[in-house]
Amino acid sequence: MLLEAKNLNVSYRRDGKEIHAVHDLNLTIETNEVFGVVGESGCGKSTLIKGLLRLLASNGRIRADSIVFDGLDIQNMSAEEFRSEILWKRISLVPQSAMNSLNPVYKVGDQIVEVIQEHSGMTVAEARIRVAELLESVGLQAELANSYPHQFSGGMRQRAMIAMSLALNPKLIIMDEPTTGLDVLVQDKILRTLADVRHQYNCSILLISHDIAIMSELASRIGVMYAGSFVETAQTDDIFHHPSHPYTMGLTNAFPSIRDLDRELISIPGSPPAIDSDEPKCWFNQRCPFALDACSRITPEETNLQNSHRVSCLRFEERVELADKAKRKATWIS
Amino acid sequence: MSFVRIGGVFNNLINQYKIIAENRYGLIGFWIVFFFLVVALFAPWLAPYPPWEMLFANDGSLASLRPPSAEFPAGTTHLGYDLLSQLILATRTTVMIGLISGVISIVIGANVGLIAGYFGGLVDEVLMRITDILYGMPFLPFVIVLISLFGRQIEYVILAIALIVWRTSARVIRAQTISIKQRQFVVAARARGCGDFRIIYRHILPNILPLLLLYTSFNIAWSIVTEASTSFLGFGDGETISWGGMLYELWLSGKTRTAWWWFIAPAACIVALVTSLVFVSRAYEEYANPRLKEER
Repeated sequence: MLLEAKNLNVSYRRDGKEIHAVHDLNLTIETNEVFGVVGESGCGKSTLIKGLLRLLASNGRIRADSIVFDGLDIQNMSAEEFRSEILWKRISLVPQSAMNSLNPVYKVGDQIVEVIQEHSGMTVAEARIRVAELLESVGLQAELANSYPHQFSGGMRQRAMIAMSLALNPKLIIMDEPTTGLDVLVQDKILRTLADVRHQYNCSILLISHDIAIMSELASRIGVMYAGSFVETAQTDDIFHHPSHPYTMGLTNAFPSIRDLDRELISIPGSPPAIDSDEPKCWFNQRCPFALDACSRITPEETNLQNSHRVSCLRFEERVELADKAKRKATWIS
Repeated sequence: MSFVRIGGVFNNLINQYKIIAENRYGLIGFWIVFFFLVVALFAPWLAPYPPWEMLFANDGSLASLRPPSAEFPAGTTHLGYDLLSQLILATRTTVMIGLISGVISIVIGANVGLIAGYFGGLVDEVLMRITDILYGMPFLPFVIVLISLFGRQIEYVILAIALIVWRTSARVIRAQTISIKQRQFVVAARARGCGDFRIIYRHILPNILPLLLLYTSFNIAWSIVTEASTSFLGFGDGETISWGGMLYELWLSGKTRTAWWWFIAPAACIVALVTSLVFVSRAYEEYANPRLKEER
């Protein structure tokens, strides 16, 4: 097990009120796997990353029972130690809109050299050799190190950011929407590059996206996030073929499938709630077509089905029938 | 390694020149400023006479209040001092005061602006309220009070000017810092484990460089005007000669109405140097904000 966070909570304080963006979330990432997090906008995906990397705004607060990374207790680590020992050395980040994440006034190579020097004892000459290797491993020519970011296309900048995230051989790379804003062909190339470098560098990836198609291509396990926690986590195949939470069923309905081109796409009405109270309930109950009265009073327990397939729903035992019903549009619209 | 660095600095200077030369006025301004710099640098060798030496004409009489002529190209004062020599030596004082207080003030202003803008919150509140208080002070009286407090030596004049001129640059640089710190690459730098000051000085500062240079030349111009005003009012350093000080002596001599050459020369120098600096800053302003570019 590479990363394990138990009961993770991230809240923002606003006008004297605590708003939970991540709510009692349990996260485990195994060594050498790609764990995907899907969910619609506003479900707390980006906050989860910021919380883990301690990049929260000043009104943000993180609490957890424990956060253990690679045998290290990173929850109680001092800020200085976290910065020098964990950030980038062990966990690196390819941020959202990575295309704008390069400083426009420095050459791309110099920015990667800076990261390497900041965290290791390499000389500039050694770091430059490393940069050349890194750029080549993500499919960029080594000479491009001497270019400025504005001379790069969007896809090239994305590759450069991936190269930068690999610079210190981290065990975990967090990728926040790595292909957003790129055209489909470039997306495909980037995904291939990602798969390649993952084997070459032997690292785990925490992949955040709202695009379920990208997930199916890259992730070995998927966590479906809703209202700040995982409502269902399972092997990728199980998520697509045996969805057990009504939200997962709704989410898979909303994406086209290449095998079933005639299928009508159905979206889930409504939008995610703001979690501003601690009262026990299933936060999906307002939008759920299968909600019972109990759903607004009881927080569903996380249940382990089989093959590490976990789901938090009171009606998990009826999952097969519900999944059938969920395929019909009438179920969602009534 | 050091050769590479010197080469880098040289390239950088050429780049700066290119930015200035983009603008016609900037180019004119640059060469006028350059001319004054050369005069300031070689002043003691260029001045034909010491500044306060009574000069006598060929017939043995005091060369008092002579208008410009071949012998005294800028004329003389009522005590027979050569005005050209005074002008040349005063250039040195003025350029020195302008450069040093301009640079000190931009260093203060830039740091206050960067730190206030980057950290925000209480730090921002405290630094900006100090700036507001300085804004509330009437400019010239404040400098005069400081000079009378510290003393009239040139070091103190420089310090007094620098202590007030920084206020505008601090505000503008704070605003720019707040906008740059929201950019994605700053967030990315923080995720890489860069410390606050590394982010401020390595990632934000280079991105506001054109604005910084614009305010550097503004501050230098302001410092020169301020120095001239205080000297004209008689609060300058009596030991060193400056353009403002020359005007003050003219005022004291009571010959303001008749000795036009005594008035025009230092006044023209002040106007020429300050205007040129404004032209140069205008070129930087266009670079920082291309929308201002004139249609061509």
